[in-house]
Amino acid sequence: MDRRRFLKASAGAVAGAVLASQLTSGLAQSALEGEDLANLEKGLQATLKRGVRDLTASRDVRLVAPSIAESGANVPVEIEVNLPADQVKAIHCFCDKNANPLLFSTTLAGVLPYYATRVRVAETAPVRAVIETKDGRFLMASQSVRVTVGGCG
Amino acid sequence: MRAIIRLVFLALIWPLLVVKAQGVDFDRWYPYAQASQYAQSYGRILMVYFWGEACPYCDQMNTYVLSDAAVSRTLERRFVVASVDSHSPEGRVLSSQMRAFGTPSLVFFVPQGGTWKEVGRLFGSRTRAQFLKELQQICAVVGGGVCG
Amino acid sequence: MAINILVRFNPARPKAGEEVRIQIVAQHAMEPGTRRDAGGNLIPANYINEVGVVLDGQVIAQVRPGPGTSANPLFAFKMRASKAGQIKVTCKDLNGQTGERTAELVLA
Repeated sequence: MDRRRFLKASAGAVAGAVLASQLTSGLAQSALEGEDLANLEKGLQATLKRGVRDLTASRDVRLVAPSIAESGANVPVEIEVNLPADQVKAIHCFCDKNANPLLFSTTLAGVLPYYATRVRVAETAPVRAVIETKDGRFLMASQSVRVTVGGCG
Repeated sequence: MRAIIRLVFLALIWPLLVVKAQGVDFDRWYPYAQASQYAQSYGRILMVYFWGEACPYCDQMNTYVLSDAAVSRTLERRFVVASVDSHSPEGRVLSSQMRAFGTPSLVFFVPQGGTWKEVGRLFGSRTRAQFLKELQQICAVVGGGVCG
Repeated sequence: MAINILVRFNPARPKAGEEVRIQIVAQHAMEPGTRRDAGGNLIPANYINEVGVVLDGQVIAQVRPGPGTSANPLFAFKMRASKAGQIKVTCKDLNGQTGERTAELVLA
């Protein structure tokens, strides 16, 4: 009975945001919705001893996450790297607005450069896949996940 | 020897026990009757929180918003929280009395001349920043102290 | 009580040289430590923070999940199925509870 949810308060805004993101998707510099670079920096330093500056956005990193999540408690995330397996050391994942920005770290040694899991997103913010290569580079792909606010009837 | 250690231990924790017994911990939540009594005797704003077990938006509030440090501080300073399961028998009665349908619902009251005056209501989950702003607004309307 | 782990291969019996997805699910609440219970008390953090995947005695992947990983977590990898072998998955949570599961990878 409680499963019937209503008041998708953000439904209209979502449509607008999707349209806007389509219009600006060509612009690499456009800020992602819910971006919090200061908090992300905190997580990067704590985990990798690196900062936002040390990350390079890369098309070789494919991050699949929903643009809208009805519940931030269970957001599927899939990361695939278009590099030879022996060049990828680890896959890290962060979320800008989580109190603890690190979602997970995984080190790969013999599997393909791929990892899928389900994460918690505290509120609308970008999820970042950060690939650590064997030669010490940090490649990134970002995708903003909008967490619906609402209630149950 | 063991008895002495026990005595020393008791002496050490005694002040903690006294504080616990005298003061009310406003960082936690209480059943409606107890919370409304605390609101009256301590002059606090009563926040009645209606939640449902299977509602993901309540879980969102419990995990990210109501546990946020700034939100917790604000609630602890001026509010007392009544935690109401909207599907319990008491919850059904209270939610129809307060016309709080759906979860999460938050209804705010202040004691006034032996009765309760509603000072605000919210429905649905919200972000930490928005909820903090709303709490501060309600607190400011009530007045009588620091709302930060 | 040990942590229950499920392991599934997709396809269930890959051909030699084919890509196979290893899907691991652990039954665990993954308490993030920031959740308030019905009494408003913070439920202490207890999540799986160590996962190891071993193929025939050799570590092929390790995960350090955190409070940001969902309840009943999924950990999925892909590998090239070069030969049949045994996959062993181990995990451990903050309370020190552990789980272990082995699964035979059989080729078509």
